[in-house]
Amino acid sequence: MALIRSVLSPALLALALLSGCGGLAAVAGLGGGTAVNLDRVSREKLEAFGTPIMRATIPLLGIDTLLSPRDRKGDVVTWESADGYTFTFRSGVLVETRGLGPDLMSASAPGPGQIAAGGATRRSYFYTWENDASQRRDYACTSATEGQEAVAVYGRQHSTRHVVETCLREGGRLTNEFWFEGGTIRQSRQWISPLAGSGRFVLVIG
Amino acid sequence: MNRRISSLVAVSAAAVLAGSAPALAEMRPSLSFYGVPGIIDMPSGEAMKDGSIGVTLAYFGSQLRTTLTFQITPRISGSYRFSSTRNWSDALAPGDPLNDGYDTYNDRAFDLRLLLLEETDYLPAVTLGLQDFVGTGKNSAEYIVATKSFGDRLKVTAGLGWGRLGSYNDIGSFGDRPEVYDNDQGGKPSIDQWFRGPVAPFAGVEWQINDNWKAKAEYSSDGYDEVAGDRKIFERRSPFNFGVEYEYAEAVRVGLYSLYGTEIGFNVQLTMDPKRRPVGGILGPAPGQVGTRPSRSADPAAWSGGWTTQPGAAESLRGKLSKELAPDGLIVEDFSYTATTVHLRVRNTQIDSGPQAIGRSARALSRVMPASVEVFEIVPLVRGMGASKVTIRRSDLEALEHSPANDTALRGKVQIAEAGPAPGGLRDETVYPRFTWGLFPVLRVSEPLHGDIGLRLNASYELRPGLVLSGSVFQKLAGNFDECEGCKPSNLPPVRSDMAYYDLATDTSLDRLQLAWYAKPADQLYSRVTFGFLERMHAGLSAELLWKPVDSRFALGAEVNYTRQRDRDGFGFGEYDYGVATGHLSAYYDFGGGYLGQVDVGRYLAGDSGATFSLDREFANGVKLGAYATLTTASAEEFGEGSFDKGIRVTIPMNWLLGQPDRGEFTTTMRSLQRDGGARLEVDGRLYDSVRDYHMGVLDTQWGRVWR
Repeated sequence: MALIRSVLSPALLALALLSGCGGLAAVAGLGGGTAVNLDRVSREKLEAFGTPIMRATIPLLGIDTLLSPRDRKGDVVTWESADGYTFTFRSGVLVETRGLGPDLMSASAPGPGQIAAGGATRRSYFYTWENDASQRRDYACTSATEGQEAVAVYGRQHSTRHVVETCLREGGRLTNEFWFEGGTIRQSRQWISPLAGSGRFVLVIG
Repeated sequence: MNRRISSLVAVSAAAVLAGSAPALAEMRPSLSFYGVPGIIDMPSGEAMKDGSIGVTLAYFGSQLRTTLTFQITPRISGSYRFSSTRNWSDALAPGDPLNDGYDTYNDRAFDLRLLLLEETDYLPAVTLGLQDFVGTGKNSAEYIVATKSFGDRLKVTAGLGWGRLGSYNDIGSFGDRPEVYDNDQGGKPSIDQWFRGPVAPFAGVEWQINDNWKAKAEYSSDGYDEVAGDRKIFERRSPFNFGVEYEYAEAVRVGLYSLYGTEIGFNVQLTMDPKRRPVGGILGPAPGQVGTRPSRSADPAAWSGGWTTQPGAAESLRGKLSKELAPDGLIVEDFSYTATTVHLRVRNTQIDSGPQAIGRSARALSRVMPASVEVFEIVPLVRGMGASKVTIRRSDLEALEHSPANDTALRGKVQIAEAGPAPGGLRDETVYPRFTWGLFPVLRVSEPLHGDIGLRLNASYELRPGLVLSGSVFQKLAGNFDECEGCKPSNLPPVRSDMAYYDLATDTSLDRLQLAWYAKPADQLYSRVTFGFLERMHAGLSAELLWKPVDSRFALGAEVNYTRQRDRDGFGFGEYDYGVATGHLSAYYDFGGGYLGQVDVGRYLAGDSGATFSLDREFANGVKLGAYATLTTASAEEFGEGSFDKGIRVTIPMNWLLGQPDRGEFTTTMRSLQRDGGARLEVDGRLYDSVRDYHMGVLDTQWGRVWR
């Protein structure tokens, strides 16, 4: 892994320049927009980095940034941004975030196969909550296909199946959305935490 | 005393402005002009959320009241109030016996409230309150009050009051209420007054118009006999008060009111919940990952342990480790290993949580150490002393890195033990000597509304582990404190009460210059010897020994000091020619749930003997609130106003405000009046608070951050 990291570092630096800053200002809601409008970056420019790239957008925290893989352990991949955030996915399903402040500390979640197949699943989310203690929230979820959708990602059309997962607990409800391209999650909107809300993740190159 | 109430208000404002959680639908209690849950000038029967802190600034009819209220437990709250009444003697003839010559009357008071009943569907919330229960008695009142909400928009309150709250339209009398004697020093619980004398009803309603606006009306049973009646500072024409309040983001409320038929008043209310961080979490960059070990077949040498004999392996590994830990402010002080175990002694200069520092150290070790190393022993160092030893198996780190609830799972696997002696491994010679400094603006309030703004320079030079030369200098920039109006001669040696004269004496002061030596003479024992200008008013020698087993709720300490009182200009000892031997035996107990108790028995600076009792409540994020009282052989007459020393104290870590990793913190003490009885030497760096951050109680409450 050390080798991969050192190769990635210049790429990360460049991604940082593209992504602009998030950090405290963004979390405190004091603005903190991006230096470069990520919508206007060309696919060629992103491909030139020679690494998989994901775009993460968290509207409540004002974060819009590019990620590259830092660490892979089996089906768990941790993606990092140059401004110090990491997002960890188990086969594309979000299980951890770090550096956001109101982070998702850990999670047990259904696999993409279960979500794509539809039907009932269970989820548990663990947050750092009041008094820095972990708080566990358990949900009973059902997922169902909404339909076929074409998703445009940086000039490329992907034909996807849009699956919505609805999760309930006593006194709470959340939804996750996945756009499956074959077995791959091309795009998703996944729950992070009560104060961060949901994040949108687009696999640009991967 | 309220040396720093203004900075506290600033801190609260910063905290709430930094952001807060979305509003809830329920009607949260708002705070009265007395800063306790209430309507306008009258209290209500509700309690604030457990652990909450309320700060209010309220003004009407020439009376300004600043109150800090802390919900100590779900049922008990305590308040500290500083009130200032202008035009105090304006309407009085010079020969009037009431005319005490004061232009502005300042008063400090403590309140205590007990929630007797929590609100249910059918029953109201009921609170018993003691207002100004250890003050001079002028504003004392007792009450029992009930509040019931109807739906989520209407609340109705009704209560019975004694003392001030029984001074208008009473409905009877519970015996005689003893007079307040003006020549009494006050400051003692006025038990013989409680619930005695005339009793009068009061009532109020609150209407939540929408999420932000609230309307209120009340009937007040406070006759303002002295302020409105005798002194005619304002005219009390009606018992009815009305107001509207605007609430912003749950944490800030501002209100405008019509009071007593003649006055317009305002109330600014700030509420903080120390259990919640203003920025909603712990910021700072994501941690590095757990390293992946190569398979045995891919790298047999790393697994065999043969690498330990390679020349230069130790330097190379230590160098890599230092580089991995540097971004988190973690400094490798000592590093030794065998083929299977690594022992790391690490100093944490930045991360405010022990588990987070330990978790990051462990992951760095997993990225650096060859595959055969299975056991990680991490010893956090505090001032060169090993505070504890946390032993983590590398396989557990690897297995749990991405599993659900991995914090509790990991806690079940690690061992926390005594630090033990340093193995004398590979010490990094570049760590010492180590110089650090900081320069920051400070507000120094010498008496109410008078003080200086200035700069404080703190510097520390650590010669070798545990041997620290440090100092602190204050430079005045501007101020309005030119003469001490409130200074009164003391009946005891002026070991504290002359502080204002020290503030007046020089624009630049060397508050502290000391050499401290910390050591760990044996397991469970920690020691400190400090010599020099220990604080602004006293210089000398201070020695302390602490017994604190790593897994114990209980600790014992002993401290002895010999000090001489410094001249007001800071140098020399001729002005007071006062030397004193002081010392304490201390017992500390961690009750769990963040409640910490402490008893110190011994001799104080004025030569009086006695004991200090303290109770603090500490939250996982480092916010700490507490109260203390010191009873000594100094009599109430010797002590002066207030009779004995007592107060409340607040510690707010920088990290809680900023969210960013930072080990700095503010502490402020609010006491009834700083006098000379029960005054303790303010020596920097006492052992208990330094060491326990890495002991079991604190590590366990913060353990959720080990994977942060």
